[in-house]
Amino acid sequence: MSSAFSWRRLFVLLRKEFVQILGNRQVLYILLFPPIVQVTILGYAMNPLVKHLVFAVVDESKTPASRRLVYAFTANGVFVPQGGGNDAADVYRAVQSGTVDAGLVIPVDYAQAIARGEPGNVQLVFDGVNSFMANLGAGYATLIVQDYNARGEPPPPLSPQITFAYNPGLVTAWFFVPGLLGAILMITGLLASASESVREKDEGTLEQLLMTPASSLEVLLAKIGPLFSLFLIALVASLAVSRLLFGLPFRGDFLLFMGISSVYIVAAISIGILISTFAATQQQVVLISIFTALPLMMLSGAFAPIESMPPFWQTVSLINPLRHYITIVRDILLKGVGIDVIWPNVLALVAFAIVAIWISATRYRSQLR
Amino acid sequence: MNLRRVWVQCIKELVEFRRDRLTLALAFALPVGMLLIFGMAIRLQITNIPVGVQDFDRSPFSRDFISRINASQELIVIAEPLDRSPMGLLDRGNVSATIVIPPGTQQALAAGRPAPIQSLVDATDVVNALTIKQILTATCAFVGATYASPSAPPTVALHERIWFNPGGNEALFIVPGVFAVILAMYPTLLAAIAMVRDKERGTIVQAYASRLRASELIAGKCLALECIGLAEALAIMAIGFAVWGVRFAGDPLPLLIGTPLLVCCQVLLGLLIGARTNTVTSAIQASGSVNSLVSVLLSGFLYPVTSMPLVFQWLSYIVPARHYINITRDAFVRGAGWPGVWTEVLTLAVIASVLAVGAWLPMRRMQMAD
Repeated sequence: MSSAFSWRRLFVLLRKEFVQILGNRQVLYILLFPPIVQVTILGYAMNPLVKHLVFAVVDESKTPASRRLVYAFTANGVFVPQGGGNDAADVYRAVQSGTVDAGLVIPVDYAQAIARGEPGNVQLVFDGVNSFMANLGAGYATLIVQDYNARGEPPPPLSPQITFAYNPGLVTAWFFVPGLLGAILMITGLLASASESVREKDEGTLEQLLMTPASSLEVLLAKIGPLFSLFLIALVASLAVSRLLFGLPFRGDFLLFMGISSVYIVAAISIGILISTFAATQQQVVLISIFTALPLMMLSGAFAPIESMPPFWQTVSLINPLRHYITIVRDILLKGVGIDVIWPNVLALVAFAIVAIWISATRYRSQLR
Repeated sequence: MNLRRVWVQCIKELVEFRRDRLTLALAFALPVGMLLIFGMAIRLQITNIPVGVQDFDRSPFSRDFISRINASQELIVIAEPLDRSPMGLLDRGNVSATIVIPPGTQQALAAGRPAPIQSLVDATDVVNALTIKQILTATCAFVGATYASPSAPPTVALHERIWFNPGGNEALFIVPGVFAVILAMYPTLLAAIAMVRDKERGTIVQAYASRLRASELIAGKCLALECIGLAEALAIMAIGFAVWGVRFAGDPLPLLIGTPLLVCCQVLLGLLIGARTNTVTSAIQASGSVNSLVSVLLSGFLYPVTSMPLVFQWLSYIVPARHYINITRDAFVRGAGWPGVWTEVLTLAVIASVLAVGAWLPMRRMQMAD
């Protein structure tokens, strides 16, 4: 145990771990398959933009003017008409029962009011159960009506000229894929390393390792090695897949990205090993891993924006390595910025990794004694 | 099926569950912790996006324009020095957009000449980008009307109203959703472990050797885990009641029937996974990561299912959490009761019966795998 660090021994241990992992088909499958498939599926499925808001329309006016207005709503596919009915009460009932997301009521006197030179009043009711979606929908509706009112008028004197930087096509996958990469690496990294290192305990082979002259650092490094290289492969593969499917750009420095990703993967694996020191069985490992990974994922900005969290939780998220990694990946991939911009995040990530390795190595060592 | 044998099997499961202290603690600590974090921290409503403004005009108009943008709860204005390049500001990442008000904008407006406001928006986050666009467009229309020569009155006046949750209290949307996600995750996980553990330890052979039938084995385990799942449901709903003031909005009956049905679906799914896999690790991978991701993403918990590609919308129909989430949201927020959700309750019953057959099939011979 007290013998000096030996590269030869580390190499032998590394070979043992590689053989063990590569020999287990199921583990290989679990490590390489989910990142790629999940990035693909989630990249397509995660869509925070409101598309296809189903709305019931009742057009009591039944005039060309009112039909033009309904057409303005449905033209760009955000609002999809469904059903409707004869009077406003039918629409209200549809919204109340939750069968539609919104209801548009154009009153009988709509066309007359416009003919008199007064604004025609129309009512749009949203199902506010999903307040986020209702607000987005209300915003769209305001823009649609604003556009509609501006028809035939000279362009308004004051207008914004908006340029979308980094993601001019507004592809939502470009935003979500970096978050997913980070989240998936974290959860699989955690689970795999924790269950790999607890297995030795579970099967009682830890005593055999104990009897060898290998130091705990060598054992630990050998454990990290194979997982680390597999995760780097999974990362590059998922990046390639996202580039192929979503045209995800890579504007920054590849070496910088791989370097930071390595630090991040080591951090994830260290947390996993730390977890394994608390658990006695595979089952406990998994429960604790999920308990650790979920808050990390939800407080990272991968799925829900950090700016919208209450201030307390924003502060808490600063110690989350995933949060920093996601910021870095988005910055490198989409913005193409360098270390001069992302250094605070890199610093936080490196600090986290060092602390995580240190604690897990200490605990792992005390467990070996 | 012998009911006494089912009952004994159920008791055996509950005793085993109670003995494993850590699992017992985690089975309740995990859902409660998740509920608290999700319910308190997760908000989708966009607030406080920082936008940098470079005001070259320095006129009453530009000040008015800036304070108007600041008044929206979505954006926060940060005054930026005039000599920075807008792109450089975005690169640094401290602001999500830059707005440039060119010199002479107020004069141009007064003279009736077009006056563009230039804005460079960080579109990395697409929702943020579109929100910034909406607010800028609306602000320009509003402030422009004050400073430019009056234009014709609008043709259409839109009156928007948001029902059921007019205050936009997002906890009312998130918390009932978290109920569904939690009840979709943990009973499945526990059931998969309960099923595969016997196989991994080899103790399943004793069950095979006894007179116990596959249907009795599954019914017994299902009953035990149903009790645990319902206890979890009770715990998290009580916390939702106490912490966020979640109350029944209407008829509670669909929820009272739907909850045992959902737990039943999830437990059977877990048993099915446990019956199909051979090691605890792979059972947990399948039930822990795949099932939870599917339940979070295809249930409409965060983002509406209707915005997804069609394939995923079809796929979501077989996800029990998707149906149950409509039941909880109806029970706690909308309050329409049976007319709105009877199809969901019925679908859950159908899914449960299909899963029951699915879990029974691989076990029906009560033999070791060849």
